Amino acid sequence: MAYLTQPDYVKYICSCGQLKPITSLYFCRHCLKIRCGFCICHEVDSHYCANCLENMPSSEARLKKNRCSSCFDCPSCFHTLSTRATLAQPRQAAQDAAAGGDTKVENKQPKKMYYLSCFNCRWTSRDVGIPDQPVASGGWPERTNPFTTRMNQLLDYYKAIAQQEKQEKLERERKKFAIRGKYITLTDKTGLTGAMARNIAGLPSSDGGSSSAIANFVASQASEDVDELPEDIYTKEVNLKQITSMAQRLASPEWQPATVSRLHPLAKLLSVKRSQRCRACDHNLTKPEYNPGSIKFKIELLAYYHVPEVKVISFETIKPGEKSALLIKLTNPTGHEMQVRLLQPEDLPQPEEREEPKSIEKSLEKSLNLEKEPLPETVPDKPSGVRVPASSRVCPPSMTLSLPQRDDAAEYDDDAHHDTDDVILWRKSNKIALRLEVVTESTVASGVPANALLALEYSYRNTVPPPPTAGGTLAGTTPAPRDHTLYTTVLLDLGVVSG
Amino acid sequence: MALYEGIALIQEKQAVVLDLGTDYTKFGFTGEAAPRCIIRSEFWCTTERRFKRVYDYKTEEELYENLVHMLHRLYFRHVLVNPKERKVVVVESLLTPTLFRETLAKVLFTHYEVSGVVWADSPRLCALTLGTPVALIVSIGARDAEVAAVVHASVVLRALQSQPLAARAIHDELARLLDEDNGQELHLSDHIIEDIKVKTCFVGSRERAQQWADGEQPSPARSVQYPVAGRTAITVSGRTRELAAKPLFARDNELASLPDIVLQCIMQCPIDARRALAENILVTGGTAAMPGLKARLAHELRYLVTQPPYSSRLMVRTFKFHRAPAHDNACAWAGGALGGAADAAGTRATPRDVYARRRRLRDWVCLLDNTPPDHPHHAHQL
Amino acid sequence: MELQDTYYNKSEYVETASGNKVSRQTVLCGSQNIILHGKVIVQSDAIIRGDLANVKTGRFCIISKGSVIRPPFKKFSKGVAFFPLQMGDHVFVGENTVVNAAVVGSYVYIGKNVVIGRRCVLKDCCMIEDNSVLPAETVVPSFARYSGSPARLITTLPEAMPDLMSEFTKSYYQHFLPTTVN
Repeated sequence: MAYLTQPDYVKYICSCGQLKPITSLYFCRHCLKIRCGFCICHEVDSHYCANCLENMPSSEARLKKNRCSSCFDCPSCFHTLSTRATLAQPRQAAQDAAAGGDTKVENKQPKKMYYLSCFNCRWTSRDVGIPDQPVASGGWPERTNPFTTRMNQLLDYYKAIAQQEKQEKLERERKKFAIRGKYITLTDKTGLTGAMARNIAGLPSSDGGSSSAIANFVASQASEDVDELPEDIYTKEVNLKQITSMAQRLASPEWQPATVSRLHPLAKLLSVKRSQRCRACDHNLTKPEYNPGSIKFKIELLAYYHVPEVKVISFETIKPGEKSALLIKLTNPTGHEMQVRLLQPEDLPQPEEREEPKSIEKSLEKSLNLEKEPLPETVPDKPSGVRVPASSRVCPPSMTLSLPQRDDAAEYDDDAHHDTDDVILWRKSNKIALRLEVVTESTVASGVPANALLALEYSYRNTVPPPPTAGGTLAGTTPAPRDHTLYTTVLLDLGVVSG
Repeated sequence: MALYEGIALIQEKQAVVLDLGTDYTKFGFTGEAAPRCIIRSEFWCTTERRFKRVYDYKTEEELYENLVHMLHRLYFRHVLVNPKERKVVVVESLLTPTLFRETLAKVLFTHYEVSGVVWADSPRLCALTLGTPVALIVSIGARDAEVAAVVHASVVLRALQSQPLAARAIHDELARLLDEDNGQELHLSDHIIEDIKVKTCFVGSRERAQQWADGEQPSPARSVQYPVAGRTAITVSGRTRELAAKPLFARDNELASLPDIVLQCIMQCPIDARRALAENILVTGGTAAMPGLKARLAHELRYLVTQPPYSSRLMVRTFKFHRAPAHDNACAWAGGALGGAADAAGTRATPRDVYARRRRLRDWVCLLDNTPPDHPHHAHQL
Repeated sequence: MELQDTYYNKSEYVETASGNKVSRQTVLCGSQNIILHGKVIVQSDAIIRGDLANVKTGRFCIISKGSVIRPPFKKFSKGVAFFPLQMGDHVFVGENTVVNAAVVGSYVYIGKNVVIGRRCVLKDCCMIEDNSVLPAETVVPSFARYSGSPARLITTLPEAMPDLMSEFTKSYYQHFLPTTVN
């Protein structure tokens, strides 16, 4: 939780070079690499409404333009609207409205009418003259986009032209007339314009004759009149409350109402559950459960569950040219015992897997050399923030630390096991606290952010059976051993260097 | 569901249209009449804990990251489709910086693995919404006003005009006028300035602007008290409301006002097209929605064309205006939606494998792309 | 950063058999209607309105100083009725926060100076940032991070949120220690 309320004191270096806290990292068990939101592939898994928590199949969602059919947002403040009920004795409607009340519990009068109301800004559907509805959900009047008809005409026209162009092309190919324009002009950059140009220039269209869509098309007519200012603009009082803001207008791109009286309830936009996939091996890293209310995952390969977690307990102020103490805590989140060794970042062996295409150029070269079909690049470009120069160095102890596996029952034996060791402060179940020294160069200016890089070597037991065919391509998978030695680097944020 | 997705692969997926504006981003599907969302071009930056604008970048890496986050927001919060294996129509200005285009291409192709991208320039897309052979597109956006002549589906590049006469200029002027009105430096945030502009400002007529300029005081429109949280209400005088858009029409010796660049664009076009252009003007872009702006532009054009230097060189006297079948701020987007839908097979798109082989985009300013194929230069290249 | 120890005055707090630590300086109205499911910390000046309706919390909940837990009411044409308030496990409620929700799921973090309006539903694994106001009847979905007034979704939470929250509340409980006489 500290991860969400505090700045990130410990950042891991992802295999793509990004610096991220461990909570936003993933661990691909197949590539044995740390991945982050930047270098994995996000996919839409399922659509649901965040208000009524109903799932909607993606085909239906597409049909409904990703909008929930029963929930609405306030067009004025964008909070969710609530359905309110009144008794429809028409003359006394006002009284009942004041009473508010929900529906189901009340006496079952046949005439119950519903309207929408916002509990945040008190907007109601009655404000804009939408009649109350006899059913609680749905049935609200729908509006159509005023431009739809014209847009459809245009669409038919251009489709016909595109069709015609395609036919002409086929025709030409059959006749083996490979006439190609000498100039690559701008016309080639967008679709159909070439065909349109032909059409306009009066060139003969293909022998089939132009379709009715083309023949019947009427281009837009220009007129000398423009929208003049309304007469009363100089005399009319401006009521700011009657004019919509940009946000209110743009919330409904189809209508963009300019006055408050034309605001309409906005059908709530659906949310999606995302699954995430490793780009290198196409395995899922996370896959949520289908049920929108569920917080469980079918697949959840988070770094938080697989990579030793480094937490800063406390540190002395960093001063140039001096040593200061640093207390950190290591946690083994896995279900297997883990051997951890702290290293200097430059001691990290260059793992062979590094030869795997890092940059797109390389992968391209590879794909071109192999004369295969061009492989899609798997790893995006290295973003910024790679290899931050650290102001200080951590002096790691040379010993190998053994961390027992996670044990949920262990939390009940609460006494920490205090070691007499210089380095180990205490041990407690799968956690270990270390006392380290940080050396800062005397050349470091005061006031700059203090940070230190720390490399970790840890053993990782892979419970995934090695893929039978993939062989040598994946991180050194010789068939037998399932224990791996992996490396990671973390950047510790140690405040600022004080003078 | 995975199965259905597989079937859908056989059919071409509906492409998306992206118009990444300086202030507002329009995003939606081809073939639809309006974008699915028009949102500010900004995203929540977790490290800095604030909304960050896409166009705030210093390095290519920063832009890359901004675009990744922005597109993530668009795809997964608004349009809710997988970007992978789906085509994109990018609506861009002809004057988009190369760095921006190339970085956007990199993000789309390598990060989001889209199957193809159609790069389309906004003037011609705006012309698509009209269906006329000749159109003069005056697009007034957030930063720049661009005037482009589209003649038989080609932009007359030589006549392309662009000046920083758009929302930014209006905002600066409005901020200045508001300081005057209230007798103090207000330091209002951009959002408030924009809101004041949207809610109160309009463009007064030519005659009145003249009167203001001559020091006469025509009876001003009503002033407005604009409440701001945590301070006293701001007075927005009638003069301010009327004159906020003045910089767009302010003429100086360089003849770089909005009506001037429209006329210059027409003047630099082939003589046979000039009349047609003047009779097929489309004023578009978000700022064009300001009340009275189109009317003022029309009046200014009709007046200025009778004045030197235009009177002797430009023989058109009638100006006619189109109404596009879309809101002003989404006009270029609508063109993209039309173009993308008609060209469903995506023959004009740059496919991903082509981009992967040759990591560059065609650009009209690049000699590699606009040198004829039989030019001797190509022989040397090989 | 690891949590630092928080010390409390031993005489001020009552510790129950199930491990609840409840300050004596709180207002627990209708205590027969309040069920704390164990290892719950209720800090000084907190108010729990059990007199209005049942209040149930799960295990490892932290009710910080000056916060108010108040079952929501609903207006009917014939009067007002109160509804029970349920809270899941591993919930943190920050200082001076008012919770009027109908349901608060598990692994929920509510910051300080927050107002949760009437009959809100906070699903499992969500976070309301400090100084936010959640209008009445809002549903906060899982893995959402809300902020502002009115609170809106600003970003999502990491998938490991359940573990983060349970670790946080557990270590908070472990670090919530009586002052030792030195």
